[in-house]
Amino acid sequence: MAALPETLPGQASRLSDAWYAFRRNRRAVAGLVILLTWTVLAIGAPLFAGSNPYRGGPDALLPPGSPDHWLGTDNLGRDIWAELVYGARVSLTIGAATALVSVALGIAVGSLAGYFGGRVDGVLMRFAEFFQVLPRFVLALVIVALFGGGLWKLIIVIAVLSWPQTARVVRAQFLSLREAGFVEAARLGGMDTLGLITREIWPNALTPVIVLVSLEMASAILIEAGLGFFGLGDPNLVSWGSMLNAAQGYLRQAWWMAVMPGLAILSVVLSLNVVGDGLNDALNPRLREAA
Amino acid sequence: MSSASPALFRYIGVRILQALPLLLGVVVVNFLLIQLAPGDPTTVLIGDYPAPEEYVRQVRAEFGLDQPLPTRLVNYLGQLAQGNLGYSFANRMPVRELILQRLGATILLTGVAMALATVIGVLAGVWAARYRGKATDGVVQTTALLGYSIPEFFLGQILILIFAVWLGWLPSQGMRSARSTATGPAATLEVGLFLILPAIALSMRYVALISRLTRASVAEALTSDYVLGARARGVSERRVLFVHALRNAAAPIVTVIGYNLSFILAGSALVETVFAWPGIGRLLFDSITRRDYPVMTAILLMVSIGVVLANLITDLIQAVIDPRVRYS
Repeated sequence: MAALPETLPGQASRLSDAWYAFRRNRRAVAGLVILLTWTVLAIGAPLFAGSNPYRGGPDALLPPGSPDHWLGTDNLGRDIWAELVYGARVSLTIGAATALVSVALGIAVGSLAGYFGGRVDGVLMRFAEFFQVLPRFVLALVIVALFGGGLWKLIIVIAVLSWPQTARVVRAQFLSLREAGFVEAARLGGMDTLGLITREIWPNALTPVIVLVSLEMASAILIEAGLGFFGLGDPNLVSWGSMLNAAQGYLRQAWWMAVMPGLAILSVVLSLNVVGDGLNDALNPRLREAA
Repeated sequence: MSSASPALFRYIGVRILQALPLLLGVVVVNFLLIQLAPGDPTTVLIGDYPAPEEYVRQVRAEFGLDQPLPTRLVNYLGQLAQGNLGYSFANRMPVRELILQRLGATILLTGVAMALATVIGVLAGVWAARYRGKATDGVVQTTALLGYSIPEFFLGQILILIFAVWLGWLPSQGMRSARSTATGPAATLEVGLFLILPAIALSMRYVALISRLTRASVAEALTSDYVLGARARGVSERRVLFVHALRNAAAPIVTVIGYNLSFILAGSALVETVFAWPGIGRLLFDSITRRDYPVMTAILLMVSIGVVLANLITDLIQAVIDPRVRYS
């Protein structure tokens, strides 16, 4: 069988169509710009922070606009801006890593269930249903409280509790594609199961998963913030959630301790949601034409 | 209706049978957490609190902690069946009583918040659908996006700052004031005042979800033949919107609340902590800070079971509202 070119002409133009549609969505582009800004700040934190977020000073509870601390300081005299910039590392790492791990798990389970169907599907989907009824946030709280926190533990715990949604979406895609003409043709051409799944079905099935990555990332960041607020973040790292935890005791004296990290979380989650909506519209041509 | 009943009953039976393994599953997860936690399961069952030697021996015997794992599971199930959730030394009270004591406050908060979310979400959604593409629609949609993205506990802190600290209009900590002697209607009114801010904070996410859903289904219904027919017959616009079009949105709204119970309770835990609202969520926060493990795991168990039951009930309500569900 003659080798096909890696990208078919139609595929390339579909992606550029999607990008064109995405770019026309001003909200989504603004969201993307905000996310990229936070990413740059997080990567270059030592450069942008201006001071050490872990070292306190004598100037506690300075309001925003103070000469050396433009966003003010917290109860221990730490610079809020520096904490925000370093906190972005935690939120973005947890968001991105959790989304990738949970989506990868979901793709694996969803592909197996959808491709093989029958009993495999039955068992895997009951399993997914079980994970879906587990109360993600409360369970994560209890696990971290009993087994201890730490960045990577948080990522694994949140990811393991988050994959079913992706699995369901991928499974549904597989169910509609596994009998499709082009898959049948490749199967008759002698392609093995792994090839059929990875080279024939995945390229046509995974578009909706791209949207899920941004939504999973948003929910992971919210869960981390909640855990941090409960005092269960990584104790060695400054995070937006733990900043809000500290702020709770100083609401009356220092509103900026709550407002700054809260706005940071809001800006990232909001951006992820609008980028997700934008991707959804851009990658779903039927919706685009209807609009 | 009567011809559909056998299918309905079969569906209900099947769903209940399917829920049983899920219930057992969440209990086993809780059991495994207790057994596998670092250190001794006794610590988890008793909490990180000085307990009398006698009680430690009693717990070891009750839960069979010197037995192999499967026997322990059977003992654990047996203790649960008797309603034994352990004793909280931090609170000097059996865990079951402690939870029952706090349950009412959480039910009040979540119930009022969801009622609020339904009313505001439906009104906003119908309004946005009516003026689709206009400025009103844009405002509702943007607000919904914000409401969906803001962490509930941060919203709670903002509300405290504005309405309690700066304006001084509303109380923000607890369920009634410490020195309150109010009784009867006055006491209810007082609790109502304390309830306003936490209920708003908790409801916002669901206002957003419900308004988006309502807007979509009402907008779809407005282009349908039966709405055209109703308009042609001269039915008033308000009736078209709220009776004919809104009926479409009823089933999805039930699922938003039913399938999201675990998120609602998670939100409630955070909001209760911000407002010192004396419910289960605040108890969870306190039990984590005090390493009062039996309370913590009991709450996890209650929430897990509650979520399984809420999903089941939601499915059953769906089947009653929408006959198509029973046959799928």
